[in-house]
Amino acid sequence: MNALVILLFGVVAIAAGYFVYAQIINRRVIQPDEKKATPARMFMDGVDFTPANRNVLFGYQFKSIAALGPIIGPIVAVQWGWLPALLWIIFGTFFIGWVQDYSSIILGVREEGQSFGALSYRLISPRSRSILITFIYFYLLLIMGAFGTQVGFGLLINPAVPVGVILVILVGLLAGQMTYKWKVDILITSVVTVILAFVGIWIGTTAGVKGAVTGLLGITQDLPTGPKMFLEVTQAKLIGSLLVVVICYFGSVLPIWRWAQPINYVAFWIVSIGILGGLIGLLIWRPGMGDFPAFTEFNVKGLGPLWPILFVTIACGAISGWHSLVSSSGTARQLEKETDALYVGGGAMFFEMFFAIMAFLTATVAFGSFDGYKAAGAAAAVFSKGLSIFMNQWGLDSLLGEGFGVAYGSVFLTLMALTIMYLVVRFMRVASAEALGDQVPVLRNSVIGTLLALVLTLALIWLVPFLQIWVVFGAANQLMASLALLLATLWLMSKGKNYQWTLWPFLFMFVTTIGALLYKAYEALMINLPKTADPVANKITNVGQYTVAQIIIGGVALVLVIAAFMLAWDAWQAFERFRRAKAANAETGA
Amino acid sequence: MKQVLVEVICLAPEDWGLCSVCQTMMTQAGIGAHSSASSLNDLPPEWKQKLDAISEWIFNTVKRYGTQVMVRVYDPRSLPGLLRSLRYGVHTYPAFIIAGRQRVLGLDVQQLDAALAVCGLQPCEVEGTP
Repeated sequence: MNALVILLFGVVAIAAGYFVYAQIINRRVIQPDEKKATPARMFMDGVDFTPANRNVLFGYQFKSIAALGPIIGPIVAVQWGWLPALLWIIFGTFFIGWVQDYSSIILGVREEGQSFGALSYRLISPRSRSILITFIYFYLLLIMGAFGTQVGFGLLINPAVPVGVILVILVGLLAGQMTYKWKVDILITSVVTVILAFVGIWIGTTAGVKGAVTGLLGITQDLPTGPKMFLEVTQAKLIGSLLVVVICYFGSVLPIWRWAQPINYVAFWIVSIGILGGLIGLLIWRPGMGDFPAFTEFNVKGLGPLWPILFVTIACGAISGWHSLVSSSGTARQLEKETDALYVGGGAMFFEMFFAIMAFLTATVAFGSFDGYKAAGAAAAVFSKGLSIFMNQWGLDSLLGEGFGVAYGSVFLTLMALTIMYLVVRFMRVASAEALGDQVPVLRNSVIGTLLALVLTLALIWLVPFLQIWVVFGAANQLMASLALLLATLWLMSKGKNYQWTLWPFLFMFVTTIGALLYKAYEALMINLPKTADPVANKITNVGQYTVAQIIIGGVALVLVIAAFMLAWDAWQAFERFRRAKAANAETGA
Repeated sequence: MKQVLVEVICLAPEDWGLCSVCQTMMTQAGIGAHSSASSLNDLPPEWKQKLDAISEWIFNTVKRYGTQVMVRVYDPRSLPGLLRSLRYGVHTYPAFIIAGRQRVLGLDVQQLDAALAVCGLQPCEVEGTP
């Protein structure tokens, strides 16, 4: 199938989903009122509650929901074949994704901007808030592990990439200095720093620099990731993961204006220009799928069975629990009018679906064959190489030198991940200080709190294989989505509104997520762990590491399953409560 | 009476950088000090003073003119802010664009009040209503 047909299919799905299905739900069920005061207008405090223009809010929502998730998920999932992945991206968004994002905003707006914790406490049970907080801690660590593995073990081991990333970060620091200290015009700052960032990426690809980095990483033709240092960590992977940790350390302890903000600003331009360049290349090229199979097999080695694992492998891009957090707190508190909710929540989700289809195409059409895709390496490497192939259709490499496109794609993706990661570390540091600061006062020290978060991250990256982290991360994400849909269903019930459009997506996501987590726990503890009895036959090079990895993944999956069942039990009781109240009201009315 | 739009183009503190991941997590989990306040306090002192002054002017203006005025703040580092900077030819911040026509550069309260008066705005008799 031709890439343009797939893009067209995506556009038609967006049109039908947004302009037909979503509009029907919006008009008949939610019935937003333009004149009704939103929390942003009622509680305007200039900080959390601030009315914002719907276009600005659309940008905020999209920026917050689209990170590495919609890129990595589809690229990993095409191992089942392109058809299941494409169908889930499109139908997941159509029937569930926008439903969750939109209903979360509406829930936040109609319930005075209350957080999910507060809503769970009120609508489900008091202990559901504690479950939510526990879940969030696991979720953050899994984000660090999943993104850290892709960047540290995948992207930064390419000798053309590390210097480019470091130089772009230095350019970001220059942007901060120019803006806040030298007070240079933003337009001049933007032009100068974006040009310097491109020069920095180019310097990383020059023969001299690449040669020096190759030596540092210990890379040879026979040892493409360098000699092994410990566990399964090679010299290149050790340096890559430590570079991630150092960057995250500075991002966590330095003031926002000095590090995170200006680097993110430069990264925004690098990413935007890359997406535009890739899309233009794709439209010029119009490639087909080649021999990429529509379906490979039901049970893919390393991942698991299509159901339920595919549905947690692609989270962002189809449906993601993370979106509900953004929608219910940030966006709902800034919505100027109720009528903007569908445009912001639904619109941004459909736009993200388009982004996921772009990532899907880098895996399925860029390499011309299934073997080409498999040979391209880790998911992040597939994207960076695929994007460079698209950009080379209009001659990027011939303009800036052989290998520039891949380096650019890799720096692009590294920055996308790092800009999230150092802020997640920042959160983990504050959270550990608040949660355990009384019992362990040393955690109040920002350096100690940051180091603790980074040590946990390194342990996850070094010990656990990426695919296992990714699937459990996806499952944790989808568990959050189930909770959001459950809250929306209970809220609709409590208001006497039609709740079928959130109930069925909730049931599907809940059953699927529990299935995925149980499968992963079973696989880790009952299939993989017993293999250590015969490490030679099962090709296990380090029994200790393998054992710890399986226990971590199995344990985390089980904790999430228990949390989900506790929530389901409490929710069932809440469901019965609402039903009894409704029946009592009907009797009183009669 | 037609509402007068006041567009303020100025560098705004981002709560946790340009990404809202951590801020959202903090809010949902109900832990952590107020992230926005922490981000604001991190700024160099002269920037903090400047932002406090702009914030005070915005709140006073809204209080004074109620629904006659609509204030929107744009960071020039965002796409909408950048486009507005280009459209109005603004190179120094803060910049105030009143009703899409009058341009006031810097926080000059007298000049701003005069520009609002030109648009026919009258202070509210009762707070929050025209």
